[in-house]
Amino acid sequence: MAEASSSITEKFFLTLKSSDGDEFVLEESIAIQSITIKNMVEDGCSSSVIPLSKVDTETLIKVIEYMKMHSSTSSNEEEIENFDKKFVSNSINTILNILEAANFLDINNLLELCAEAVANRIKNKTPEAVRKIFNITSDFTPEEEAEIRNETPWAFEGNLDHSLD
Amino acid sequence: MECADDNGLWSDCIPTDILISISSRLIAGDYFVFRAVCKSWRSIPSPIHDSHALSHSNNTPCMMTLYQEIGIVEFFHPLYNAITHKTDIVPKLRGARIRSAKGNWSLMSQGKRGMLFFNHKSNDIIELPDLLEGKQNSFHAWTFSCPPDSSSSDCFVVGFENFGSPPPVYIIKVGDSRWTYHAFVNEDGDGNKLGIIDLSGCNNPVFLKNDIVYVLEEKGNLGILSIKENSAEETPTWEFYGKSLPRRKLRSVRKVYTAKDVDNGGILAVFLTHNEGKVEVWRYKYDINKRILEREQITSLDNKTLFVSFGASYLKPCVAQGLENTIYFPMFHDKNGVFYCLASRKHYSFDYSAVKGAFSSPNCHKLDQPRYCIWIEPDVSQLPSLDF
Repeated sequence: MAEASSSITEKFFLTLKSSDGDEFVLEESIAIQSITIKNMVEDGCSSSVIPLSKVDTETLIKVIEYMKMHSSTSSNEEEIENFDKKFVSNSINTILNILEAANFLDINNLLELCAEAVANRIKNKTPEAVRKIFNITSDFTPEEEAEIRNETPWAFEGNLDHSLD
Repeated sequence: MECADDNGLWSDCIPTDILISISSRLIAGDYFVFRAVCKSWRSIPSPIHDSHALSHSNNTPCMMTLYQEIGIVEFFHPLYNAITHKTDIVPKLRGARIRSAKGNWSLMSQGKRGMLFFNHKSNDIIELPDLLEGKQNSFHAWTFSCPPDSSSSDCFVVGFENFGSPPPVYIIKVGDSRWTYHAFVNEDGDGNKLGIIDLSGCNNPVFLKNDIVYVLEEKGNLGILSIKENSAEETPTWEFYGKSLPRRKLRSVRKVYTAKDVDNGGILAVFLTHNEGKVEVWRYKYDINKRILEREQITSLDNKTLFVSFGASYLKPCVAQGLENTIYFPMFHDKNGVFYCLASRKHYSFDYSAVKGAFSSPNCHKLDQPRYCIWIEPDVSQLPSLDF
């Protein structure tokens, strides 16, 4: 059924260009999951190549993978669920890059998926472990650190996970 | 994004709106850990927690408060630390008092003889027959065995009189046309004479099974009421176990809450004392084979979170980071929920919007205690949204 109907509808294609200069051709119906791209199409700015100066090639490939899976009429809910599960198991840096791209491209589902994934890496961790995971150096003085802990001591007293998983 | 490749500081790179969207998915301890990571993470505005992002909060009870004067029912979520929604009291509940809760149902009394069930999700009401004339509602301890619309077991509703040897009980099986009032001769199941048993401090009897109710009597002993033949009309039996706790301890007790001790097949009793506002937790377990009561004070809840209120209490697997081995009382500090940490022996509240952490104190003086409130079980299928 899906095949039949899509062959009747005329397909439009867009070209997306990553910050590294690589170009990707994508069906318009898939690409407009991005509200940013949708607005550009509606404003008539999409006849030529759409430059995405804030998205590198590696990230753009992931984003396109995601958009294809989530627009495809043939993929069922279970397939999408499995894809999402695998998708968020990417490294934290990759997820953060995708998160920023999703924010820029305004793809709400992808933004939520990645924000949830990042939040899950923070849950039950100590501040020290979170800093290591995100490659952050603490800019608190020891006094400030002590004061913060003293404000909500219960938040730091439980069986927290020191690992970086 | 270049700094990812440079191994630069993520804290400098993540835009604020992304940090907000991440932190809005963190609650309780996790949120305060997030704020303790670095200055830029600490400086982002407090998030509006949205319920669909908080999948693990499904297991958390909510506080339902009836404000009869203004005709409002209010629902407070302890993890959002916010009132999630308010509704008008349906006319049939005007003047009603909450007595007990289970699932989506609350048992309420109305006037001297009216008893009814209220479903806070559907607003359905199941009216029970009036209490018998001459035996009106002077009881303050009520409980029921399962939701009244349960298809798998019969729902028994039981009310306990304060005093007696042993105390009389009121029972009905939902569907029966009348209540049965059971008074007892002065002996327990084995024919031993009993003194006066005082249940006036027992505010939440606990159905351990569909026909067995545990109550805590005033001296700290365990009373077990057994319903017979799956019938409200059959005379139930009372048994009492344990020795009186030291008088000095009993005198210091201001309130007692009891909850089903889910994994240990007994009950937990939470004692709140008068002066110092101290909290003690005791585990009660009746050994059927040895016919003895095992009673011990405990200092940990095996990482669970306990929610206590008169009429309904729940022991839940830790509901959020930082809330293991804590007890949520039906108390508030400046509209913030208050929990007691067994490890540090202090009461705390947290406030997402506070610049500094919120309240902490070794005692619970000066806390607000709404008069008609109860913890109700969460409904997994539909969580209220926070859109006002």
